[in-house]
Amino acid sequence: MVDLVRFILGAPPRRVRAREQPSRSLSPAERRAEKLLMRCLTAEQRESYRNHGRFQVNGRDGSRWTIDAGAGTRNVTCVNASGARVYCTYLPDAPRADTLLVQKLCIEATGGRGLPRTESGALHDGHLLER
Amino acid sequence: MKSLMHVLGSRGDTETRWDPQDAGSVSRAREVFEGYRQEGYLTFSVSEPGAEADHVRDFDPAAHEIIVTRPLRGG
Repeated sequence: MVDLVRFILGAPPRRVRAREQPSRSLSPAERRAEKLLMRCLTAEQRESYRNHGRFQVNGRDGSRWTIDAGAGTRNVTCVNASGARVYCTYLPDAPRADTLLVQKLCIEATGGRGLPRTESGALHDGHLLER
Repeated sequence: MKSLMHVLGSRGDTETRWDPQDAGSVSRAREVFEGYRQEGYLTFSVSEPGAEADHVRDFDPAAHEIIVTRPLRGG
């Protein structure tokens, strides 16, 4: 609704505008994290991230993962033959872009089979990192 | 220096560089890598920018780029 009003008023959607001016509001740590994330994305992922604040990772098992920078901790969605699942993950005390990067790395390293994460000190789905 | 290891942290990443041909720099990088592994960090190897990551348990001096991070938290 807010974006609709902004559209009527001629202003760009909030997320797009934020991505166009990353250096004004980011701390040095966040800027470094953004730079590293961008280095690790494909050209297609970078374009999607810049324009929409999210990017897709395709698992080797045919799963399609979406990582959305603007969706809080429930920002990873996996769609595979079993249906859709939303994951709640984060990297504590870290720049947002680092969380997005680690989510991407974990998905790729598991071949798309899952998203390893710790809960109450135990690593869940860690075995998926082994080939 | 031809290879690079990023350790993700609250203040952004810190970098360790090494030259696969230089035993001293390889040794220092291996020490950093193994220290973080012992603390439960995850270690990923990336062959080139934008390439798919692999989870690695052992330090490979020939690796192009390694990213070291704490595991994600979540449910």
